Amino acid sequence: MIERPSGASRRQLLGLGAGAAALPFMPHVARAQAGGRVVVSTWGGDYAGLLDSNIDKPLLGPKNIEVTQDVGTEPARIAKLIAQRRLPRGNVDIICAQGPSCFDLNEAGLLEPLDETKVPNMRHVIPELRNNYALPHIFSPQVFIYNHERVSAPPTTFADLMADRFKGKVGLLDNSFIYIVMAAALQKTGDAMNVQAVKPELEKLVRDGNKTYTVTDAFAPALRSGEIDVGPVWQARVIFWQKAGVAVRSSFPKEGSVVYVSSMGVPKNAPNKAAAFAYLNAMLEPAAQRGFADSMGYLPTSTQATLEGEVAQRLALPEPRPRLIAPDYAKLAAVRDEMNDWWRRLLDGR
Amino acid sequence: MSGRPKGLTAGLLVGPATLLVLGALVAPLLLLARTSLNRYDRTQFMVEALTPENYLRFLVDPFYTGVLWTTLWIALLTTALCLLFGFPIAYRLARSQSRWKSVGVLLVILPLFIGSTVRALGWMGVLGRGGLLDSASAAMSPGSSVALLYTPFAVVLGILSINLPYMVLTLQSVIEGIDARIEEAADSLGADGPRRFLHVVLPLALPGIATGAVLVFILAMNAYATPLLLGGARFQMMAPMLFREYAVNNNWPFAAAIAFILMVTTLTLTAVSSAFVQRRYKAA
Repeated sequence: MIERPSGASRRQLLGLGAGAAALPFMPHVARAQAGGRVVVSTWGGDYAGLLDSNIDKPLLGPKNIEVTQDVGTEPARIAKLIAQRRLPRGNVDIICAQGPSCFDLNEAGLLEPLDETKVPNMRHVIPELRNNYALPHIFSPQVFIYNHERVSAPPTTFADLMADRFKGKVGLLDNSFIYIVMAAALQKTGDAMNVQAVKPELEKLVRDGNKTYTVTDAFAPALRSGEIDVGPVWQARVIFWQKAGVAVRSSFPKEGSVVYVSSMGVPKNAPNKAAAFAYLNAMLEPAAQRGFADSMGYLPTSTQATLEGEVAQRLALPEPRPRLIAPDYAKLAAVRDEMNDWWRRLLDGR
Repeated sequence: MSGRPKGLTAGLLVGPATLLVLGALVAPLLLLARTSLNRYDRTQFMVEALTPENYLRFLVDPFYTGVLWTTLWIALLTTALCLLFGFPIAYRLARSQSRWKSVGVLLVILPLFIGSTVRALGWMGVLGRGGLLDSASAAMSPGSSVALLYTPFAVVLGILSINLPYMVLTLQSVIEGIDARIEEAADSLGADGPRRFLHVVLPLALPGIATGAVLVFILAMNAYATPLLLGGARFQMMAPMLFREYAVNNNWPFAAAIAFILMVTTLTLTAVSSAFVQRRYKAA
């Protein structure tokens, strides 16, 4: 869901337009006591639906907080936030974005600092994922997906993807390439942020005839048809495709897994901060967190949200527990534009 | 004196349309031109500036000019193929007296009812691994595999299938305007088929060919969904690249510069070809 490419669908644009049109008529009531309306800038699709059914209705409804979703692609929503940065009062209370984007927004001075007095449940956040500008909502480690009908010995380290036995059969997702680079760096140097060191290996991986996909959903048919056999993807995706009946399993890299984090922050010019903090607190409630784990296969970010039964089995991390590595967003931000350029040229092969 | 009121009436009639064009086309283009001279900053998004750096970045880098060349040759090739396949169909339809003619025209128009994205997805099912062609090839000689998806061939095929109806419909209306008796006259004067086509039909159809070619060329230059879905991540054309800069990287100044370069290239080539055809047409 979240890694979907950024083409705004008609429905998303209509939603965005309708949301924007309605905004001037909304009562902007910022009281110390949470209440009123909270505008959540979010991805559409399943994610938005699950916010509604796990957070908005059951947890905020009783508190008289009415939630309006401003649905759109992440870059479009971030552009909007940046564009209205000089306004004393913006029209977004909560921004949902990936970890790296939240870091950028905070660097630009746009996010409200968060602490446990504002969001009491913040004390339960997994320490490795915690920061003071955006709270992690869900996360998923990067694993190797493989077709278990064709692959008898699954890859156990990123180096396996470069081995001859998978030559031309590795699938790479264009929209999460930077995470692939980090995984390769982690395996080669022990430091996921040492991205410059793995360029030669990745150049070989791409030139060896391995496949690259622009659309996340193109991955599953390719695994099924035998176009590819393996590839690094988010664990949540594997679970999603397993549910859909694709013959795939996953293995964890023994060097550790880089994690994808989806976060929420409060813009400094949010019209209803009290309600925004209440929203963040509700988002970390175990019941809300379990809802996302159950439906989307993402792991909870709150230590209180323990999983049970079939969901716990599906999402269980292997023993011994693999190292989970959250990217260093500051280092990532420093190299991202340059890496982006390098990757485009590498794919093009000109 | 009837001159002034006449001019005034003409002015009044042209006025609303001119205002609409100025407001809906020229003003946004001016805004886009201004944006293309700004500077991009990841945290601030766009910094007011007057710099040619976005244009220079594109023009001096073989990577970007390479993408422009790819777009150009794909557009020219699909235009030529549209003409090659479109002309016989258009001619046959135009000269048909059959009561099935309207069915034929409908068959040409029908694909236009389906969006280009949906048709690209259809081609993915035909050309992809495990798709129609691949399965057929595997059935005929086990173990073999045809990988046509994510190749320039797939992109050309996809754009061709989308643009062909435009070419056929344009040519058909022009050919219908050519008096059939002129061809009969050429026949009676002893011209054989190829001679009749080259010296009679083709020169008369030239304006239609030019219009159809310009139409499909512009469509191909700006193709977005087809190259993205059928070309894959490794095949780059201008429109998908523009979209990525604008909507993924949020680099509006550079995206605006790309948009202008694409627009200027397309318009220049269109103008040059039109001028060329007009001169030929007058000479003929």
